[in-house]
Amino acid sequence: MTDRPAPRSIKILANLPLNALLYAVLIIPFLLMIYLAFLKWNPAGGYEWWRAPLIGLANFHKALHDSRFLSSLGRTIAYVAIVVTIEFLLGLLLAYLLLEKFPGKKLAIAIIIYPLMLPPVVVATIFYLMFQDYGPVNNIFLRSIIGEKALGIHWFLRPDTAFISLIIADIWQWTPFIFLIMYSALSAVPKRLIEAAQVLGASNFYIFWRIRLPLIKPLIVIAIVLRALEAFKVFDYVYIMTGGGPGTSTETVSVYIYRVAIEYHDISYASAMSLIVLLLIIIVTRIFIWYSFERGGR
Amino acid sequence: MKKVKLEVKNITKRFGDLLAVNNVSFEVYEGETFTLLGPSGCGKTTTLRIIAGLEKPDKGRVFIGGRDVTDVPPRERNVCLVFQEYAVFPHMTVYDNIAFGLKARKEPEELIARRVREVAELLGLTSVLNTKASKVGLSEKQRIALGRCLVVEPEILLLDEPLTLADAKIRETMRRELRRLQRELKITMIYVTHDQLEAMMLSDRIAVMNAGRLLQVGTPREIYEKPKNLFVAYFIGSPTINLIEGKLVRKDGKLVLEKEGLVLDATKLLEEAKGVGKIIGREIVIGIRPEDIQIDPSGHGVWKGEVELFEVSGDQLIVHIKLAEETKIRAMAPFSLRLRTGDIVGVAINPDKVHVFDRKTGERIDLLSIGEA
Amino acid sequence: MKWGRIVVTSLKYIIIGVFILWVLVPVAWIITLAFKPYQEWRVAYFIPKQPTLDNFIVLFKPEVFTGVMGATAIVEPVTKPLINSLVVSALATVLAVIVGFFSAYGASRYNTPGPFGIFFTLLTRMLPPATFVTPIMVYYANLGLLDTHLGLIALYSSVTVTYAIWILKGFIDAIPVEWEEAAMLEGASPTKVLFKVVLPLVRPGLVVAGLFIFLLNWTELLFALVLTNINAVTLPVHISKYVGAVGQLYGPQAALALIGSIVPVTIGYIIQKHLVTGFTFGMVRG
Repeated sequence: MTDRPAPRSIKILANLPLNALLYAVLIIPFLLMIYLAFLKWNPAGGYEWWRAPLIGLANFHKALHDSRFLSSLGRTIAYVAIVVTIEFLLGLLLAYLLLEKFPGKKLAIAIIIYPLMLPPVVVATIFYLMFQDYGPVNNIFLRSIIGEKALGIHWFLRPDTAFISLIIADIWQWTPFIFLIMYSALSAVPKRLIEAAQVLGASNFYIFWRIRLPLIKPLIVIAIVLRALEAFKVFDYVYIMTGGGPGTSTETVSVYIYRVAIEYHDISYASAMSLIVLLLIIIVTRIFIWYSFERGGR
Repeated sequence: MKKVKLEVKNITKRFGDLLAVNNVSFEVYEGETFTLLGPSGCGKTTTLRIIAGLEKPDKGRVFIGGRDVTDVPPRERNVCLVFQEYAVFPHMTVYDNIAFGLKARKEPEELIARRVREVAELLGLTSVLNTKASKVGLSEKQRIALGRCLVVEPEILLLDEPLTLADAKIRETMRRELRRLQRELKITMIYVTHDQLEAMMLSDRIAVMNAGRLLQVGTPREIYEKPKNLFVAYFIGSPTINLIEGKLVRKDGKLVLEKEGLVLDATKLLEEAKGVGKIIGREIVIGIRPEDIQIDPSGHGVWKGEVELFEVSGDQLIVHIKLAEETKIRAMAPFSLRLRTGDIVGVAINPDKVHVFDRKTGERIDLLSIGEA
Repeated sequence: MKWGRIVVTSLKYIIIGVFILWVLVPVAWIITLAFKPYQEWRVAYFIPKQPTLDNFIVLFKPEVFTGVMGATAIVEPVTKPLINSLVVSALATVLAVIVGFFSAYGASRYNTPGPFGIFFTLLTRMLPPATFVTPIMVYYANLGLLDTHLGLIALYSSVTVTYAIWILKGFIDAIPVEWEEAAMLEGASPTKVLFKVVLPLVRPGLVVAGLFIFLLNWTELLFALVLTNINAVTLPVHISKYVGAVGQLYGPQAALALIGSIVPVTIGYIIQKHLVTGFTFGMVRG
């Protein structure tokens, strides 16, 4: 049926509202952004953007030499790599462990996916409170291990511990995301295949490695791509928990662009950096999907 | 003395309210083809899965080669199961599918390559070895499933209705192939099917199951000639056996079968059987296979009846004959026999081929043994 | 042999148990902290000795307790952001679901809208909001849409419409085409078929898509942070200001986190079965 030409009325209903919405709210600003990136414009300068002078690639040039931009980019990539790896391994492990039936399984799953439903600002608030000097991480958990010293750990005042606190919040909230996808993927592997492997003498580990994992590979790729794209956006945790600090040591790309645009009012420069990031994401995603499906997936 | 390869002792398995397997015991000898036969839902597949270790029996034990394997996981039992749906690994090549069991056991590469090639040769899979298993046809998939098991040389090969998905032609060839392979390789094979013809053709011995119970174990001939009860008699044979029920009484010097006012003279049928005296006055069911009935167009025989209907079955006719109101039998006749509906014909029956069952219990009543007793 | 299996099984339950604790402990801490009085904000135990509702009251009536809890700045009551969040999330959801329904029907049955429309909607989910909020701010400033409900509603519905399309397309794909064809043979116009045949059948899909999108709208921070100031401030923005600026008001902050959780958690459990479908644009069925 999909090859049939749509009746006029359906064509209008399917296209018009969607396009009106996208053009009015997203596509016009998107084109505007491309234009802004070539300007030297700061609203604090007292004139509107259409009067601002074109300065060519100067903003892009500046971005590629801006160490604060480059290190925020590197930090974000490191953040994505760390959280996605840990979340994937943990989520896959949990999905595998919860595959078989046992009493209380439904409840266990309901608890595990709880963080997924919370607004990131709430998760940020939770971990902001958890990691306070007298918060439970220091006051209860670490104090029981290393004693009174624990109360002197200021999580958000040191670059490394501040970064770790962000990673913990992310893992807490998003491991269930990977878990859910992996759980439905593993549940969909036909039971017969597993049994066939069992009677052929394969151990559970061998079956997992040779049967289950290869069969759910497309869903692994989907889960990792979606999660990596989401993790790359990280803003809420940083904005609330560390404010990018101490100094700029936990500033991610989103936070830096936000600051340049909103706090320093350098709209043109923010637009240029945005375009660089956009391009980067599209290229990397494309390569990753190509690598997983067309080259390695045969 | 035949060596016992598998012993199943009093196994029982419940799924919720359903009693899938009810106190089943049997033995399988080394090198034979043993078939579990029964209608769907009779517990034959569950029994097979218990032997494979994929289900744990609620009660009872399973012994393979004398070893109690009831608590041993499937991978350590050295039995292999060919599934009804074949369960070929779709993401692997045909080669990797066949090699799977050996690779899982970490056998050396050269041995694997040699064994896989041997088995592929045996099953005619050599040309597709490098094809992805999801891309081959149904009959190849079936041979892959079989080859995957043969390559690991299991002590017992289990097959769960492996031919149901195949079409009639392939089915016939596969049946012959299976028989040949089994003879050649001298494998102990346990075969599950609901198709009695298939069971008759393939098996050394057959176990008939119904509703979770094991009804009879025996050679195909024993099962056909001496069905232990009504169910077995009814299930084996095609077209199905004629069953006539009633109370056997002696009246005016004749033996008659009485049921709700209907009377059927059974003198010629049972008079000469030894021990017939023991069943007089009892509610019985008489079973006569259609192929044991000869039609005599001239009207002679045990009974007379009116030809009602013909059915064609292969190179023979199934003739429906009305003996009396509500009492009809079917008989086989060659095409050459010229008959028309409405003809009055006689039916001749060899008294030796008559099966008698108790109507209440359904158990076979052996007239000879009663007579001897 | 047998021992090995016992060890493996118990290890499995231990791992599951530890993970459940890892999820539950922070939640338990926030819930208990929200009911603790000022004196117990820094203690090392969970259950409050003198449970109180003050933390919640101060969120709605900040003037009552200023000073008492060591707070210095007066923060706006949570009432207005709460109402704003409800209004904006609900209206943006309705708009996205309506627009998405038409497009999903076209995509499912006729291959319209074409790949560009679909790709562009996906792009809005791939890219960090921070990278396209800047021009929207400029654009909205020129249109006078900054700090308005309308501005947020339009933006929210345009970035979530892709979920509506994909989720609803899955539901529409599952409806047999024959029913529509039968209606058309009886002379019904395509639009009539759409509204009288498809719409009633896809109602569960509308609910799932709607609730999922509501969840996304309710949790959004960055757009609202940039595009609102006083009038249209949403709950996440309020939370971010409360936690960032006010300092160590632990109790009220925990209470605020709880208030912000109630709606999304309720919705989340209602559509638990469909969460995977939603998060993966229908690529994975739950």
